[in-house]
Amino acid sequence: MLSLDLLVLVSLIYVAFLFGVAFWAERAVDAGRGGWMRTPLIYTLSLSIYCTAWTFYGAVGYAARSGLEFLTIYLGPTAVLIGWWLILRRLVRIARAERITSIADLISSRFGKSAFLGGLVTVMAVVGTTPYIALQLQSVTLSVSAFAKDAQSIVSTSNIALWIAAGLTVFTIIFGTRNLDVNERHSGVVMAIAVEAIVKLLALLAVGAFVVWGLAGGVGDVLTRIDASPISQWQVSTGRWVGLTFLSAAAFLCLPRMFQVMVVENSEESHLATAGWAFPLYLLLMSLFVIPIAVVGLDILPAGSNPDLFVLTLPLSAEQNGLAMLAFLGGFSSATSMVIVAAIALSTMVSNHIVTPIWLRARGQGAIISGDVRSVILISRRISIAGILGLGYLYYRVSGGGAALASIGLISFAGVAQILPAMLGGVFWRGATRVGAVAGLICGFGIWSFTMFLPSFGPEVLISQDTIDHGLWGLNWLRPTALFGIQGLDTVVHAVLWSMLFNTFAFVAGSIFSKPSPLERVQAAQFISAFDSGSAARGWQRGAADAEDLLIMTQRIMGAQQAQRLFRTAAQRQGKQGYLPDPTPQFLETLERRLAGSVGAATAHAMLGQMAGGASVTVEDLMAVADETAQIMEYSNQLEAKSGELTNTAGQLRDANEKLMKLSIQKDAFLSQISHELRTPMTSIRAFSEILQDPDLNSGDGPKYAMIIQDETQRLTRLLDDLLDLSVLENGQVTLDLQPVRLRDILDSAQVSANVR
Amino acid sequence: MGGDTNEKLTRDANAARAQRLTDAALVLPFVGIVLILIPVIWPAADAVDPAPGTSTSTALIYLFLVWLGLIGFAAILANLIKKFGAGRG
Repeated sequence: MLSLDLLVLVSLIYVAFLFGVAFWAERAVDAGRGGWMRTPLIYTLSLSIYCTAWTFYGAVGYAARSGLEFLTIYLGPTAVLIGWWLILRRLVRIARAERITSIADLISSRFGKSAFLGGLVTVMAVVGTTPYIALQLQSVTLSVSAFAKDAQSIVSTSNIALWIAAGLTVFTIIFGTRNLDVNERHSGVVMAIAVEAIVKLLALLAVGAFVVWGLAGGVGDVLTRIDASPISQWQVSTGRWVGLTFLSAAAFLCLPRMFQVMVVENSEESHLATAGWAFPLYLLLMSLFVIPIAVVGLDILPAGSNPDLFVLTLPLSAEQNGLAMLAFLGGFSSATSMVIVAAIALSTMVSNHIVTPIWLRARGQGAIISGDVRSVILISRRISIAGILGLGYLYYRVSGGGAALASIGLISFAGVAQILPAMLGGVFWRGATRVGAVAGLICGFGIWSFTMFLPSFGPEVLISQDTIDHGLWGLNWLRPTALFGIQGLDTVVHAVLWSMLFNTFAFVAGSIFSKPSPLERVQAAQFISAFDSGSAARGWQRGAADAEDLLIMTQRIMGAQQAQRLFRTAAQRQGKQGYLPDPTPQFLETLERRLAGSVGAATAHAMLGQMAGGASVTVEDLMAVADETAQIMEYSNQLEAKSGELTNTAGQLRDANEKLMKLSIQKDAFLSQISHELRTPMTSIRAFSEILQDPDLNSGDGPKYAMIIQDETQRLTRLLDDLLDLSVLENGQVTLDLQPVRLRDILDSAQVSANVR
Repeated sequence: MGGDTNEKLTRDANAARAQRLTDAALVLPFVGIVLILIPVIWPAADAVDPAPGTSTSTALIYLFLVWLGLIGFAAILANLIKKFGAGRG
């Protein structure tokens, strides 16, 4: 038998090793050598915090009690992950664009940066996670007690849970609250978790391999033993199989710690593609030996042994102390990594959505100038971590630590799953509103508390035996385990069914019957259209905030160096020297998102709103923007009309030009023709007037020639008259002045003018 | 001219392939859910009176094979999607 002191020593060395890994990882990242830490492999391993002590110890216990049903807890997340394209990709994209820091931030941000919703989700998450933390403490205590059965030690097992809780608080505070900007990511913690992921996988595989090939006689023998065991038959009820698969899938998306590692700490979207198959593989390996261990444990170990501890007691009973130690470290890893990440995620939520908003409100308008927000947030975060672990410990003490691990885990799952309708609705449905989300969350959470959470403490602790037996206020149809008089349903299925049904119904109905505020609409559009490039304007007015004030405030929140770097980059981008960029709307938007990374979207919005002198988006602002838009649209309509007019005029001008060209051509033709017509009578006039000047002229000829000259002059006059007539120019041809004449006269006159000599 | 046409053809083929990959990525989880929920219609031990129902070992082998198959398909799909960059933007 291992001594308990050795166990404690090894645990302490292991913890020191984890501290070392975390320190070293943070150092590496600070020195710019952290690139390899942002690989799909580390990302996948960090997801393994889904596999807590519940998986490590509880799965075997679960399998020993209910056969294959334990697989639902891993098949649900598998479905979510192989469908990463559908939901996870969208969540990661949105979280990146909106600088989401937690699941409460996501919900609050989506529904109009509502501080109330953020607080509500935070409370739900804290309450839902408390049993889970208690479960981890319980499992570590159980595992220690398995070693300490007959050994005397300096540590008593009774306060193991307290020691663990205290140690985890210290670790989480050191590595979880070093950086305030959540987007900087907790490299140290993630690295430590990745190491723990490997340790627990190896430990479980080692125990499994030992059980299958050491204790039993290989795969064939194990299959025979399964058929001979108490769990040889498929006895899973339809309701539980479907319900638990759904529940685990929902919880996988909604658990604050899963959201933290999966969405917030995700550094690259493509990592999802790898994790989409690699994490299901991890889950498969984790559950591969569960049934064999359970069956062999039931077979070999004395009746009445706690099946939750088979992973430890099987190697111990075979005197495999090294393997038992590895198994203990595996379980220890599972428990601690979950608690650390859950505490970080929850403390972020508590400080961003409960402490900071209240503090800001309490300090009033001048708060931002006079206070140091950074230290307040850090302190609130540290206190939250201690508080959350304290709550977990309290639940462990109050619930008596008696229940099977699996049943505690399911309570937790069902609690956080209440966030699912609001989350999916918010991400996929544009019409979802704040009122709907609040209604759904309160409904679901209320029913879950009544049917599952409160009874979990046992009768007469928080809920009276009378209520359990005869319903709330003596109403028989309000019994916690048989709502509406429907009896015989499994407790978990009953609670999940009713809470999710009412939750979803209230959410949908509330959304349909309420009107979203303008800011909600803007946020909805941003969330739904996460895959369209470019972002809509969010309406920070230019010049309302002083860059220097902004820098001072940002320094308080993000720390001096980071803030100055951010401002200098922004100034350079605007082509300016120094630290102070112009407070353009774009810059304010960037700043708001960066601040949202530290203090949450709603708080960042409120702070910038105060700084920008009330220039945040109000209904009036939006109306003004809408008015402006209307004006611009009208103006553009006018412009369009004018441009149409211009096009018309240009067309007319072109026509006119064409006409002029035609006219000019006609003029040329006309002139050449008319000059001929003019010259002919002129020639004869000139000729006959020369003849008339001749002194030898016959006297009889004189009048005749004068007559000809007159005729020709008349003809010329007629021509000139025609010329002056505009219609000649316009129509391009001479209008003939038709009148009846004698042909003989014309011929005579032609003969006379031609044959005068 | 020939190079342009080829380029365009390749581009079109890639776009079509990306579309098919996207469709496959969307369908896979639903196939997975159906396969995971299949055990619901298996005969349970107490439902079938004299003959035993489905044995745990059979169920175990079925579920792990389905699981492995889904992981395999997801892995192939992930690699193809990375290679052809489906769904960018």
